[in-house]
Amino acid sequence: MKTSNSKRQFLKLGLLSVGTFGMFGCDESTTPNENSSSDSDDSNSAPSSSDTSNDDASNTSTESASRDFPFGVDIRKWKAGKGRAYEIGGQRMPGICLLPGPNAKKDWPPKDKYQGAEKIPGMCQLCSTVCGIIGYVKDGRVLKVEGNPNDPNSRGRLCARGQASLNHLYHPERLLYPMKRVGKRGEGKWKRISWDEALTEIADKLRTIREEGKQEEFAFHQGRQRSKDAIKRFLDAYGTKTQLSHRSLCSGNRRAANLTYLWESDWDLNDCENSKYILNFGSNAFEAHQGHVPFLNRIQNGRFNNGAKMVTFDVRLSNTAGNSDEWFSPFPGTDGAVALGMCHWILANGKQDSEFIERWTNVSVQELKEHLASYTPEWAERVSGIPAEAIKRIALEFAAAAPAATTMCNRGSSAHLNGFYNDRAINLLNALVGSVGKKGGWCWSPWGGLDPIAKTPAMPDSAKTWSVLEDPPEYPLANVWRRMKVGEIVYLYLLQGRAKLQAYMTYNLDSPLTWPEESLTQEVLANEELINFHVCINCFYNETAHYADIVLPWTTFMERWDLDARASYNLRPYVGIRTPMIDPLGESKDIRDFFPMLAEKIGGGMEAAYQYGTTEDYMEQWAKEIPVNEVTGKSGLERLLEEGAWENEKTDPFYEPYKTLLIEEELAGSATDSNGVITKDGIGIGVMVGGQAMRGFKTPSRKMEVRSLFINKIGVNEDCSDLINQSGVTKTKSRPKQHEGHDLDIDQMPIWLPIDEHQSLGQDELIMTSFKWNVHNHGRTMNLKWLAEIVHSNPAWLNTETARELGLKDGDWVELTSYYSEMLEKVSPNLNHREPDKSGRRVVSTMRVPIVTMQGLHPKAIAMSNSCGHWQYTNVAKAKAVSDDGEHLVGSDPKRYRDADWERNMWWEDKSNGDIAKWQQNTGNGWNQNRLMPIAPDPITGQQAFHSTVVSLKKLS
Amino acid sequence: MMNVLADAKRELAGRAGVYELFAHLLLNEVDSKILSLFHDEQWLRCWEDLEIEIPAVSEAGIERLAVDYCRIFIGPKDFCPPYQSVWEDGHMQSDVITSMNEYVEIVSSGASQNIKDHAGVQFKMMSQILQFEAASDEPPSTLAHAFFVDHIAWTEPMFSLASTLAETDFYSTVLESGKEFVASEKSVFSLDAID
Repeated sequence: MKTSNSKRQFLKLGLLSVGTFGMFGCDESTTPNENSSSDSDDSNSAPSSSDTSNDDASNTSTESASRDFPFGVDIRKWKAGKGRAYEIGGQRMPGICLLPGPNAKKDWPPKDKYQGAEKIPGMCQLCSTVCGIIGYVKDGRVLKVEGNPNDPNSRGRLCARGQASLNHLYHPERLLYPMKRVGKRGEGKWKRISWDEALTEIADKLRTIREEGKQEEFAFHQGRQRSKDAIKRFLDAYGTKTQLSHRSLCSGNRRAANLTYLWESDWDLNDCENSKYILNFGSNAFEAHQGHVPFLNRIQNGRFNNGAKMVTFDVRLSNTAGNSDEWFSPFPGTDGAVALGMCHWILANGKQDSEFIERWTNVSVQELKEHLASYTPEWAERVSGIPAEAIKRIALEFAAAAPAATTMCNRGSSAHLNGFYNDRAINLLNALVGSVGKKGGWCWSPWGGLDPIAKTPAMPDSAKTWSVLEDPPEYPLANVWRRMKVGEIVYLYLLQGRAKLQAYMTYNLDSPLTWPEESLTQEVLANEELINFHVCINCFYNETAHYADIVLPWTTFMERWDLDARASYNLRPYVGIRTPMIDPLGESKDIRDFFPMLAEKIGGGMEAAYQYGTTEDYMEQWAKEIPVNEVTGKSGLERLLEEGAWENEKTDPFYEPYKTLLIEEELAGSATDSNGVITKDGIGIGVMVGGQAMRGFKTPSRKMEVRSLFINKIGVNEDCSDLINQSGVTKTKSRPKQHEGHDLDIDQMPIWLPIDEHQSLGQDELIMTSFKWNVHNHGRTMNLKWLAEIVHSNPAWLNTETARELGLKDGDWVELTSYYSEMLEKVSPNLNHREPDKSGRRVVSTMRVPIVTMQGLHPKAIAMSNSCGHWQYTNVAKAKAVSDDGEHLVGSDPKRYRDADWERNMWWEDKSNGDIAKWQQNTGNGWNQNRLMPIAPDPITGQQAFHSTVVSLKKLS
Repeated sequence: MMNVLADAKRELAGRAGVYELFAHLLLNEVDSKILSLFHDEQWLRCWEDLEIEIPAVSEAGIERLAVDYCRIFIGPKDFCPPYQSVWEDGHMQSDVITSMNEYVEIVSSGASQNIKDHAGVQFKMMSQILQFEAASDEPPSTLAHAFFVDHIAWTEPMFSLASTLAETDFYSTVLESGKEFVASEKSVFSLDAID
């Protein structure tokens, strides 16, 4: 076609078009699914009610503007300002948009980049630590994120993940519009729909389920969530208790161990900043820990300011181990044996704190000596491989430093089939040396989140339904103190037909990547018979979204509201705030904004839960008790918006709470039993110690429960209501019906439990362990270029000597075969869903990976980091600079763009096309370790045993 | 002289209309209303001259177009993000937005699309500028030229990629013609040398 002809044809077309599409004025909109209120704007979907009002406003403004500014053009402004210097054909065009090319880089960054920027507080959500942040916002854009020094927990520090917030916010592949599946589930075909269409379809489905009285067949499945109140409001208003989580994949055993001792908290807060000795069992706090940056900061302060010694027991030389004063590598899963050996030695040398034990625990020194008699350091050496002399020496060093001595763990010791007992044993060390609740010792606080001063508007009554997916009867301690659930059995139980899901809503979840048995997860997600309807709420199109029917674009943590806080290492609560620093991009929305809309559409009284007004009204009410700042005069939400966080410095740190004396008013009407337990109206409030009425511990015995009759009784479904009442902990309820399935002998004391299949490993068999790098979380950061550039691949670590014995060297490829646990086959037959192979073993999967040899790894372990191996989740996570059809992705061609080192420039793209002979080290996006991991819940708590899997290894020629 | 002036104004109006048309097609799926409009005799002749076939109005056909539009411009993967920031800096909301903010003070976009450097928004603004120029008695300003250089010229390779991603003939040919249009606009603004 000749240019002149096409130009003429364009003009003909243009003359037909001009004014046709309601460009300016009152023409009818021609957008699909439009509401009539939509004006000349070419908006992409039916507007929400607030959008409608904006459209009305713009209607008015355009009408008046048309009188003053024909066609919306203020030509006088152009001529007086930007246009004055403009010269056609001049060397350099005015405006910020520089022409691409290498010269552009000489002007970057401009020196006035942050001038006039507004500082807006928020909280990171790229891991669970939720550090306070400040966003520098200018012209409606966030230019920079840094730590908020006002955050009392994180103290202004921010890790690499937090620094990559901008990658997250401005990712070119963010989900920006609702989409609906076209074709088969998992086929990958979508069309854009409006929010109204999406919510109407979802509401229709949910209403039907509700009207049938089967609310439990609607499950909400969360990954990392920090809007607990918003989720609970919606689910309780709807009436479903089928709220699923990933807790058991994370810290179930650690929490259960803590709860066994303390009841009132599942989270130990090791006061490392004031410690003299830190005994670390399997925690990699320098890289990955819930509490990561706040915790790490305090560990280092303790070490540098107090001279605290840090000793780490870890299968692998992690960065935490490498920064420790001593590192030992025990046989995987034997941390508990080492701890018991230390306990034995402390007692054998009389270095225990007898007063604390006798006064504040529910065992005596003599009982402990008898119980620990066989757990000698020599025995511990045989089990763990750690020299007995080292166990003895470190035990005595630890005791000598007490009470300013503390253990720390999670989750190297706990994510094992015997992890509950491992962490029970580790915690015992603190009881023995009396560092419990002491400055520099092993502490906790009852405030796992926000300061109680922050109260939400009234919540609906709690839902009363039950589902085996949320409350499986096989795991006695999973839900007994609080709902930790057993996330990894969800898909298996659906496959086994033990539950039905008519509707499934996933929220910030990536289960095919992060759950064990990747193939089973995908099989269930793809099956419309097992999951009739799936709505996915996410910022990105991940492996879970790929199997959805409707995808809803979620706002990032810089575009929404929350009040939030973690259990603080200051040992007192605080309130942090997450603020919309900018308007949500595209049509992304937060659940705080669309859950009320969905509730209204579902109807049936659900709307009653949302009478508080707008989201901002909700936040005002929630924050209203934040007291006034005497200097600024601001209080409530206004104060939080300025400062980003508030902590009541008048609240004393939660040291030795058990020694708090009960006052007369509290004691009025109380009764004391023969054990000294003080109750009021049948509920425990304290304990008599040394003739004084004190708060004690919030346990049935009101002492720190080294011996726990409760867990033993729950294990075999004996009535525990008296014990629960004595504890005074209201969250724990007696649920005999739910405990009916329990038939497990849980030892009352901390013991050593060997893992059967680890006792007789073949020469080619190793124990697979998992770890996380400091630049990633489990499944949500590999799409962030600044982070993926640092770590994007996860070859398997193998001990140098082990490799030599197996005839392997660095860079060789191996085939790993993983097996189901023989121990669980007997104890948990509910998990058996695969037939054994010819050798009689149940194989999970095989995977081919390269190895790197490391001296810093136990000889019988093989380690892979998680986070890798995405097959969805943006081209950065897939390490694809070029799309499947061979075209360069936008921005990935250096000739076309001026890379400010953002999303493209993926130099690590794997160009081997699957040929391992051509594979270059450190290229590609790694392998999903969860393909090899079996579903393996600890039989006591349901904690996924990520570190206990036996694999065999075969060299690939 | 009057005829020359009238022709010049007519040309401006025509070009404004093309920008308006592409703005709509970039921002919205094609629905039955638009498709029916395109089947109007006058429209059909124009499309035929550009060798663009308009599909029949049917529910299945409209869904096919909607799926294609989504694949090309929305995703969820391997799509063609229609945002200048992404093309020039590899991420959303780059410094391009600062320039767009300045232009938005001069030319109201009238769109509720909040991503200012969406090609559709930019095409809408360009249409308004040209409509203004067509209706104005004053000599043409430098505004159109500046806006084209800053915020339209980049779309030529974008249209090219989008057209190759399209699976329907409609979108592949329409987007190809979008590329041709931008190329022809470059010659109008004497910018053939610009990459």
